[in-house]
Amino acid sequence: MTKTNKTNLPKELYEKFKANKPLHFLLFGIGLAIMLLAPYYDFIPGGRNTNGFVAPAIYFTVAALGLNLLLGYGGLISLATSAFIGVGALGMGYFMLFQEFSFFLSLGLTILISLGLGLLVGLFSLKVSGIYLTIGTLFFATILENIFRSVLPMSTTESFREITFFGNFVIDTSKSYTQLRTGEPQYDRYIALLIMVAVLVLSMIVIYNIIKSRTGRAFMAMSRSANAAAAMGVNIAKYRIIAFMTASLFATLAGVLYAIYGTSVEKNIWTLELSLFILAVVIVGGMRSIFGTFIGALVIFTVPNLYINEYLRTFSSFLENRFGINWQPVGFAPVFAGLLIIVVVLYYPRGLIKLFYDARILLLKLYGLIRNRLAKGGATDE
Amino acid sequence: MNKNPQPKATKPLLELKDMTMRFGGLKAVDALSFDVKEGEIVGLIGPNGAGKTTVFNCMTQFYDTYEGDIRFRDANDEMVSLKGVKVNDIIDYGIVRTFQNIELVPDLSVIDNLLIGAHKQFKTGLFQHILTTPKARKEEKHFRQKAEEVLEFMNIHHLKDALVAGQPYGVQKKIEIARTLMGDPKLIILDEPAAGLNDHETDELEKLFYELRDKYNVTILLIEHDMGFVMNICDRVCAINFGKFLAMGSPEEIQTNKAVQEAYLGEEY
Repeated sequence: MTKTNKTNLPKELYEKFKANKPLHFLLFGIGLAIMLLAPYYDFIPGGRNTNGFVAPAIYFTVAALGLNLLLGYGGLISLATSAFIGVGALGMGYFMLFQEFSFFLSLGLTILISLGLGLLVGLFSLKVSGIYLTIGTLFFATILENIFRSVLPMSTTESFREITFFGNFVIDTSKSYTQLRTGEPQYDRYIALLIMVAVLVLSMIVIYNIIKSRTGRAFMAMSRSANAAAAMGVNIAKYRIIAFMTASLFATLAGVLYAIYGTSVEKNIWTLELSLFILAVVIVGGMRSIFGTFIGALVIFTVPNLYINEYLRTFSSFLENRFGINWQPVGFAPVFAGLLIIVVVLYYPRGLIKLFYDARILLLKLYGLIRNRLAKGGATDE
Repeated sequence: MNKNPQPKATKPLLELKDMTMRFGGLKAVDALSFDVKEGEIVGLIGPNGAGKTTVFNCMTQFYDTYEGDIRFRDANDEMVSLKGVKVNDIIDYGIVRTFQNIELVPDLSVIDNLLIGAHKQFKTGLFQHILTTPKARKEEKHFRQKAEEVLEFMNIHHLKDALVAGQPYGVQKKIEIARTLMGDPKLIILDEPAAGLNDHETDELEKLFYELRDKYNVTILLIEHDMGFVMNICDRVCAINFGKFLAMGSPEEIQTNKAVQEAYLGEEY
């Protein structure tokens, strides 16, 4: 009795671990936080700025998680994601710089505004659906964009010098990673990154808990068959509004993180292009996959800036030196994202996250093959 | 055959009184009146386009512009009008329906589909689910257990974690019926439950309906084109044609009814 218990314990623990998804997100967050220490210890040669490239992936993942809930579960497309990120970033900028409110008051007000706007889009979605809803959100985003540009009393770029969270807890993200003269590490940006990772992990857990609850099931029922959902007692209007408000809340949080990390808020970058990039994150990473969303964000926002642009620059200087052709690889990221979407939709319609499943299956197959070989070899030896 | 004796059906559970439903100038249902008594299995038959599904849609308030009245016995044992009740509140009265084309969520597991049927019974809200409070966890566990019991009853417990997509048609029909049971129904409204099933599955379904009635105390109202099935299983049958009431009575009475024969086979010359 005790013997069997003993042998089963690791397996039991493993099963328990496998079922506890929030723990996975937590471990993922810790791992990410450790990896983000790399610039301080020169893990990546010449990669002092790596974190600057990973940060967008983190905050845009938060926005993409909201869109993933809306699109993958609720079956509703929104092209207003970037506008809601803008609400987050510019709301923080306006309240903290112009009204000189404290961080948390600004955060609260920004979230309230975003929830109100999300409610508006949700109410609009009760009247129209399908392609018309998509166009509606697009115009909603355009209106917000123009409000940012012409109504907000800010110049194009406003910089925070430092953010006071409470009391002595102040971070100045304009400091670089190490002091130039002494080489002493400066942890302000790292703390900002830690806050971002914490919000990311929390968002992941919240989204996971939503989709595993009756709300998530109601979203699925509503998007797959509205009639059946209504007959089962799902209030379609309520859940559409919840879906839009949740998505706008997550987008706004992404904007707040952008403001915290970016040291400055810009007025003119919250365009359709960014919304489409975030849509690309969801599609490339994997619809209805939480880790997939992060992988998508890494691929769309980090890889082009971190590697592809570097290679292209090398290639362009090679062209210049060898053939005297002057070609500047500017704005290549959209091309990369576009190509990737085409490839993924053609070959990995369920997103890049499926690569991992495929790899696992392949490994298991290989393992089985090798084991069979070994077993056979053993048999002939005897 | 193995037909159970009809329970003492006395009190009406559902009553239609002069129900008329118009689509523009077309009268899809014309002054239809009939009732369903507690514990009965009632069949609604009629040729294609007779307005059967329209009747169902009016009962479940998918169409709310009908004239006349639809009354249902509520929890206080009183007949109340369903007029003005919202579609998604109909399940509160204990009326649950299935659809002509299977309307399940294909990319959810079987058990999760069943839990959609228990949507209204959850007492905990969104925030409790986000925080996974002990109460929310307990509730989720409770309904999962209930779903497993229902699946056991339907003999599809082994499929509980499988996706609905890819399940055979007969199984999907079973899942839909199982989902209705999650809502603690008094009246189950089934739109062509036997359509597309093979003979074996139809026999199984027949047995299942008797068990349903006995174990879950439900009344069943169904639309069906498989006459053998209807005549076998139903205590009473209501026949309509072009939205008009033709006859209602025991299967034998309906089979010998002149008006019904004409509706199906044409007039005798």
